[in-house]
Amino acid sequence: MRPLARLGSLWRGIVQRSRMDAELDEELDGYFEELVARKLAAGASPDEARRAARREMGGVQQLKQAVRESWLVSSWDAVLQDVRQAWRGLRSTPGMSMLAVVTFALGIGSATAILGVVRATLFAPLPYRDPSRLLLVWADLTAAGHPRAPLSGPELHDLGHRTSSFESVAGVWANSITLSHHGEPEFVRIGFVTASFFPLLGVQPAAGRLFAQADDVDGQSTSILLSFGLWQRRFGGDPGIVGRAITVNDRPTIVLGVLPAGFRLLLPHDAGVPDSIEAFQPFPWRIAEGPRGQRFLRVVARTKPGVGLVEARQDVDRMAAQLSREFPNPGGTAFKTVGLEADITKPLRGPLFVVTASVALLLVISAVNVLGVLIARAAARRREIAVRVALGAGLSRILRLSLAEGLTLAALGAAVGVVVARAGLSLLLALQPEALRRLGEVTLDWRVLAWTSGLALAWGALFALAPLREYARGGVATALAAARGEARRMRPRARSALVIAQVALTLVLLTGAGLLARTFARILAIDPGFRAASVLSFRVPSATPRYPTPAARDALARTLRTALGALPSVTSVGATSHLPYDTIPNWGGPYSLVEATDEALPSADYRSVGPGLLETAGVELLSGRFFTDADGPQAEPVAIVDELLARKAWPGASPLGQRLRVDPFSSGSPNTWVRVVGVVRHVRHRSLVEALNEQVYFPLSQAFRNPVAYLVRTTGDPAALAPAVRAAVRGVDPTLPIYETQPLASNLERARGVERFTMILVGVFAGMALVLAAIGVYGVIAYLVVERRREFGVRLALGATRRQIGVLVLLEGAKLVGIGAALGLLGAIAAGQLIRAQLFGVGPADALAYGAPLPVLVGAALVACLWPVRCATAASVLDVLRAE
Amino acid sequence: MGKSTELLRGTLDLMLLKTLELGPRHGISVAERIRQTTAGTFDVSPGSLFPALHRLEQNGFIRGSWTQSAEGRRVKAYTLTPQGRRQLAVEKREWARIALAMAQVLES
Repeated sequence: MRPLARLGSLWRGIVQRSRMDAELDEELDGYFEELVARKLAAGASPDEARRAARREMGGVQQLKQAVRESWLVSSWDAVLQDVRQAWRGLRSTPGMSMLAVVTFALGIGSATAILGVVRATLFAPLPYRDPSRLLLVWADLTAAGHPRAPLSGPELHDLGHRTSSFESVAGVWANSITLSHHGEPEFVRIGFVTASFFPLLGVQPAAGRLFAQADDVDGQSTSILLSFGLWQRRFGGDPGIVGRAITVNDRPTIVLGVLPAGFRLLLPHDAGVPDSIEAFQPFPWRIAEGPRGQRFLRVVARTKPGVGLVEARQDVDRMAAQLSREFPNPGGTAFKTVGLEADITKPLRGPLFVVTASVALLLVISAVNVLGVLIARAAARRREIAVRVALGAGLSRILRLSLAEGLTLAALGAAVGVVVARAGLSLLLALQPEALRRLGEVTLDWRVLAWTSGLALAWGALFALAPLREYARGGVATALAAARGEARRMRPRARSALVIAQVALTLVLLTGAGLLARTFARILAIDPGFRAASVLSFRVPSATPRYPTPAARDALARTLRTALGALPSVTSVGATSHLPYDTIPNWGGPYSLVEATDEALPSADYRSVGPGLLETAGVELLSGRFFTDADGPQAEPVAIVDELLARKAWPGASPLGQRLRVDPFSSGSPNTWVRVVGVVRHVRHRSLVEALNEQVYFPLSQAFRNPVAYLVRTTGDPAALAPAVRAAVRGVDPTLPIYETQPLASNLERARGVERFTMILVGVFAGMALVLAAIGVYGVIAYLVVERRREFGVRLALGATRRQIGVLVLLEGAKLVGIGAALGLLGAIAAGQLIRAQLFGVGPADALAYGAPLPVLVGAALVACLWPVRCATAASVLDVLRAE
Repeated sequence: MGKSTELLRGTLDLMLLKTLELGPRHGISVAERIRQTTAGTFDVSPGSLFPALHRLEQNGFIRGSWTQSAEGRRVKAYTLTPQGRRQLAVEKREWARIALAMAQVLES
């Protein structure tokens, strides 16, 4: 039976049941009618004849069932038989088959893992109700350097009342609280939210209730919602907690409810709303009545059903125009309305595209190895096949065998590949790139596995077709001629082409990896403006009810600094409002040199730092002085500015002693004058690859922030310092919670996370590709050597040196690598253009990235040729005789 | 069936293949032919005939096609395929071996 017919019969047996049933009915009816006709002819009456015929037919339903079983059983039997035969065939060359399965498994396994990542990070819907209707609204302060700024309370209120596109709008602002209930006081990340926030996302509480409108209007935070994690960790999952009071910032606060276990707050990275938020409270003041310029709210909106992004955007822009007229301000009022899902995934699309493209190349390279193996097997079996054909097997029989082998190989590869994918995923998770925070949700679900199966099936079909050419040209005559050793030497042309393709694709991958590695090296080489090494950072609250006055808070800060500075190996200590690459929202505001102006004010990042901080962080002082203990609450308000601000505000002049108008208390307008006492180098604290805003530093005691982070510089390992630091803080005040204790360098690493992730993955794929390509080269050259062993023997007999024979073989290898590399170079140039957006400080035509892979590739190919060369030079005249 | 002998599955397949060797036949004519050639020893009921025919068809040993019977009825006639012919040869040999072995057992 032809294999296609066999597949067809299986198909019919499963799918085309009704037609087959109808035909069976007709066949049985025909039988019955003929039976009746025969009885009639034998002289029975019509009635008798039908009765007798029915009796003879027996149970028709039972009969049909038996026939139907034969359809299925025999089709499955046939498939199983084919698979068994294919399995026997593969087992007959165990080394080759293993190699094929393992290489294919590496390719398809890596592809599966990456597919899982891509699905979870880019395509899985956000875990909220109807997420496609969720939008983000940003204030567009591009003129001031903030294209994506938060909104103010009144603006959020307007958004809810002056537009018609939205079903609901909500705001969130990340902050922190001290939870001092049961045991040690603990700092907890908290989100202040409007009552609309959770209903808008479609979140249902696991226990208790969510905030109601009344909780909002109340304007006081006397209630709290716990995350599931905090509830479990801190309250042991006590179901009685709902309705009870816990102590938050030393005030009794009622637990209204508990959020569901799976709830995660997924906002874009620059929203400054970390995933690690563990509790929520209503805003402790009436935000709608706050100053219009005080922007801190990250705003999520849900459109009404049927309202698209474009419509909503027009609606918001209309409102912005209204606001601009009613509340004239220099920069005007503008908003940016974007889809939440698209906004979250945007920064990941580029890197994941690069990774996906590399894994696709790797899959092709690995599959090409399988093709090579199958073609080699086919070539080796040409004689066997020819004999089969001569005995009447028919090309169809061979096609069937080949199909079974190809699919079996692909299926085995895919099965091992799933194991590879699982292992790969756990390695990926170990890399822990911050930006891929949804990676934790990656599972190889049925969709991913369906993709893998589809891929395997497609490749399996190709695997099945690959050897056919080899079989087809092996006519009986050729095969018998070959058996007599008369045939002209057959060059493995198809395999050579495949290996050339492998070499070319590998060069593309190597070059891509090279470009990304160079990018990462450039990023590593960037001077961020601070020295992260040997510094430990941790956070503590700077204001609790025990330290109610500025003087008490200052005293605490001084005591802490003294206690920490007294630790052995500690060289300096300082406190700051923000760490570089912090997960808390950025803090910034406008600055001005004059009393009043109609122009839009430029804005700067604000930081409050205590004495010793800039020294501890290693920020370079360009002129003037750092802050000291003398810059206290009662002293003259002072500031340190960065070089960018100094150049912009006072080009060519010294900023020292100049006055600057700023807004350290986020009042909405810059109404505080400070005197510039120092200029420091710009610190890249939010983006490594570009200098963003100008920076203004205030003394912590003049612009108070809560909590603060301490930096402790040590002569030893910063991580090892953590216990001593904890003990020192406890020694000062055992009720002070200390949290997020980690080396400062880990923040820097997090900032480089995506680049590191991309580089490592593409590098690993390129390395695997290199090995696979080397295997491919080896396969072809080894095959050539076997084919030409007789010829080499003759050459040796005629006086050729072994060296000459070795060179002959090497030349064959060089040909493959040379052509492959030339093609690969073209591909690499194209690929370089494609990934340009992921490169930094490296041109897509970087000489090193393009030059370095070549010797690597040639080296690998050389190693691959070593054994074949040895075999070739070991040829002898005896081989000729033996072959005869 | 009554007096007729119960068939081993393999034996029935062999008989069906042999019956179709000389030309295409449809269901009832296969059954009649077997009854005639065995002088009624084997009376193949539809309940064993049709599953067997379909199984042989699935295995590619015979091929069914719709044609007209002598009486002008639309019937499904079965033809031996080349593969079926080979199978018949194999099974014949096998049967001969068994028959010989049985004879040896019974005569010893």
